[in-house]
Amino acid sequence: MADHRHITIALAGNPNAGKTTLFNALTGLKQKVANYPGVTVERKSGPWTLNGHAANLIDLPGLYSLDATSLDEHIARDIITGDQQGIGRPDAVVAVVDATNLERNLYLVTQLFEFGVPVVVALTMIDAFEKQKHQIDVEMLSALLKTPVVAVNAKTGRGIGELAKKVRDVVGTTPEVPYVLDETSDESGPRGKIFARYKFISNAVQESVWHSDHDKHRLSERIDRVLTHRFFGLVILVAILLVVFQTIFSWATLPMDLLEQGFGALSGGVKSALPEGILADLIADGIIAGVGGVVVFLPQILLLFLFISLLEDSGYMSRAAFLLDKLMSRIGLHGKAFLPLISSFACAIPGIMATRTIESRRDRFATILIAPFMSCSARLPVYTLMIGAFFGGQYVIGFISVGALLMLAMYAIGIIVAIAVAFILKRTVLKAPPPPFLMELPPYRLPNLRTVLQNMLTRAWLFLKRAGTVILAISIILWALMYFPRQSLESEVSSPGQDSPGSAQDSRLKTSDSEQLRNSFAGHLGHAIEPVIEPLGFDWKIGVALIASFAAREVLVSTLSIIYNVGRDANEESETLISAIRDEKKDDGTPVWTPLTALTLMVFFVLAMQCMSTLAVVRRETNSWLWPLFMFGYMTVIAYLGALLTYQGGKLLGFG
Amino acid sequence: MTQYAIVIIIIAAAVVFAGVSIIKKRKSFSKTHGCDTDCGCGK
Repeated sequence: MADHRHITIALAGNPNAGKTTLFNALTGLKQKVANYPGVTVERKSGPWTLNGHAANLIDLPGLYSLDATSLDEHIARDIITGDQQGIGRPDAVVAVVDATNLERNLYLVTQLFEFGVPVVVALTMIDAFEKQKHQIDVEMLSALLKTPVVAVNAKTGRGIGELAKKVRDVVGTTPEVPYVLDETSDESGPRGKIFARYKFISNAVQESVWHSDHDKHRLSERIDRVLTHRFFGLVILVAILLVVFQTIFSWATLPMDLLEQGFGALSGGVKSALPEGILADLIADGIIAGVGGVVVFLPQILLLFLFISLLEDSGYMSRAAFLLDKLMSRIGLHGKAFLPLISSFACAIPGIMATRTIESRRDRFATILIAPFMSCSARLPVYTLMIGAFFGGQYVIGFISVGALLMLAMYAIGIIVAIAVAFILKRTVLKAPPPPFLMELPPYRLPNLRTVLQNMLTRAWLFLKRAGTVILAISIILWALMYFPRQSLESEVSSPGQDSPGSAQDSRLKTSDSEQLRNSFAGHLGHAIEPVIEPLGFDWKIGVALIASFAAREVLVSTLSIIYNVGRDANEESETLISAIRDEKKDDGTPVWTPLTALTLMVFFVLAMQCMSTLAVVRRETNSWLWPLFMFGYMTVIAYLGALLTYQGGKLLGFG
Repeated sequence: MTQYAIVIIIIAAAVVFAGVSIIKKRKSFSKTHGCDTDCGCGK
């Protein structure tokens, strides 16, 4: 038995398990608070009398496991193994276990057994557990765990004396691990250990706990047998996702169109209400167009979060994450990353916001950093324009449209590059051990409508708040870059008293727009970047469109139509714009655009971070400018290299 | 001229706002609580 004067007891437990309340009750007001050497993790200790023998009680940081993936877990692990500087190996550990979350809390206890330190389980929240009409057989649980279990209540003093006695009894003993690892199991290594621990915990809880809603639990288990099945579970998951995304697309179309029309009308209204001039231009073309371009995604965001809330509240999301964890863990991502990534096919913004369900900061950031590679709906006008101009009406094997194949290829390129980048990120800048999958599968239940609506409205408000701050500011700056310096031709064209035939006036207006763009700051930028984009087959005009499309990818279409004097109202299906693109010639008379240039531009758009709204959201979500800048940098490099490879490779192969 | 003055003020405000957002340092994720109160997740 250890010397009385040197008894050290550690208090371990999950966050919010009632550890601090118990620590205060055991040590009174004589505790000392300091930091662990070299780190800013708080270290609390205090005296505790064990049946007349003085002991030092150390309060370990709140933790879910001893896997040492976080600083807190690392410190706790070092203390238990005796490796923490200035603290000897504890003679026993009091494991604080929240009775209302028994399975999750017992996981830490099983790990403590494996470290060979004597453990006494202090069962807290027992009153709340019994109030929920559940009962726990403490003696049975103790027998199954092969370690003392004491139900305690720090407020009433229940079990405090017994806890001290049991702790004193276990000091100097060697604990027995109450389960064995199944070496013949399919799962081996750390994952196999996790399964073995949970299997044991599940059996122990089933044996020692009686639920009043036993039938409900049985029903959940039966449903789980289907929904978490390795094959049928995945089939059902794909079907559910198809329904969810199809619904988002179809239901969001009408409100998005209405919002778009609304902003168009507002813009027109402002132009007619305000005297013609710079202020009306700023409000209509800068503020309303910029903010409106983002706000139109609100219906998609509302619907997405409605479905996320419904899936989460019903308990299905945990099952989906469980199913996909194995797949995602191969590239180093958490199972929960699947939904944000699939959401990003609609728009990266709700996708990035949906990463909030991922608890691990590194896994969440890795998911955020690859989400914009998924081809969003804003890229479609660009793809459609390029395919329409150069690949329309072409077929392979007689019936497969080249356009459809190219579209599919663009989606595939995005996914493949995203997987490769995630693989590299998780092994370099966001390096972390494979995420342990410790997820409780809560019983299924009917979603609470109020919670779902509240969640949905909170997300909508946060989104609108962003649109009204960061996105508004960037829209104004971009507008100014395309608007200044002003050309004198405008005053000549718009000056009253100089009536000219409509077509001539239109033509001069278009010339004015084109000249304005050429000589604007954005135009100068286009000329400045021309030497860099020339190897990709792009001229300065495409450069201006690339810069302008940073506001939103689809802006490329309207910018090209202004540049080629087609008119602002041209869309991606406009024959005039398609003809203008095809007919555009270089000084030497050769065409600016070829099928290879179009393909190169499409590849660039798949891979480039051409979306200021996404960057603004990433800045907000990561609370730092570092990550959006990193994202912009690495995606631009990948896009440039991808486009360069496409163009130069295509030329070498004799295309273009 | 008034219109120009208003527009310049608006652009200047946008530049200042964007600049301040860049310079302003917010405490990122804390070690123990996952995130600070200003990260927007409402936790």
